[in-house]
Amino acid sequence: MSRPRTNPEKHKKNVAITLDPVLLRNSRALAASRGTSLSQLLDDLLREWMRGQSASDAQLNEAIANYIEIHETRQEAKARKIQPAGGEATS
Amino acid sequence: MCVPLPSLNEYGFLPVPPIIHDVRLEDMPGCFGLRPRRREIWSNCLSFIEWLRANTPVTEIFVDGRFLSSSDDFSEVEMGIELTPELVRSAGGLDRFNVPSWDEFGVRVRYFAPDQPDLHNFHRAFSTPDPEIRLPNSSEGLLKGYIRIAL
Repeated sequence: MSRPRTNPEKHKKNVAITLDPVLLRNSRALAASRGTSLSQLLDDLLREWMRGQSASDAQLNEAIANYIEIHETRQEAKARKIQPAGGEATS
Repeated sequence: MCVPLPSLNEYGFLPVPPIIHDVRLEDMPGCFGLRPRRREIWSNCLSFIEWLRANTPVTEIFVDGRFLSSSDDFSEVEMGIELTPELVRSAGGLDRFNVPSWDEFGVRVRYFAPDQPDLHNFHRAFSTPDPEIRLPNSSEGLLKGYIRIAL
């Protein structure tokens, strides 16, 4: 029987990180006190931090609006530059 | 639903309705690519579309410009891309959309934010005939079709 297909992007991966020995000891102790592993503790902390970092839709919409304004201004300037003297730019 | 490219109407534009014609990439440039200059310009567009596919998470583009008309007075193709927060997130930021379209591929890219329809809305521009190539017998309020292609 063939193995079920799984998405490799969902597999957890090993990474090596370098920590200060005291921080490592304290982190391990904290993880143990919570009944979890250092790996899981870091996983949880990073997820929480990433949630705080990701921009909201409103913030992204504002950034998109600024981006479009700048893009249009640049395109118009470029069109004026390549437009023959006295002529209209064609599309 | 994708359909083959329709013929141009009596005004030399894509017929309406629908305003947006969903066309498969392999059906382009169809009737618009009969002349060598048009074939060359579309070939540049295809290179740009390949670039988009390889470098951005864009899944659909809108195509317009005088290229989509009976006029031979054109030098580029206009393409529209809708920017949504979801698309920007999956691209990892807006920098990914700094595409080298005009310089490298001769494509003029326009962006539109569906949440801000009053801001440089290319859908309005694409559905309005270019006044410079509009026939004298066509009405002011004439609408024209344009194309959407799923990548």
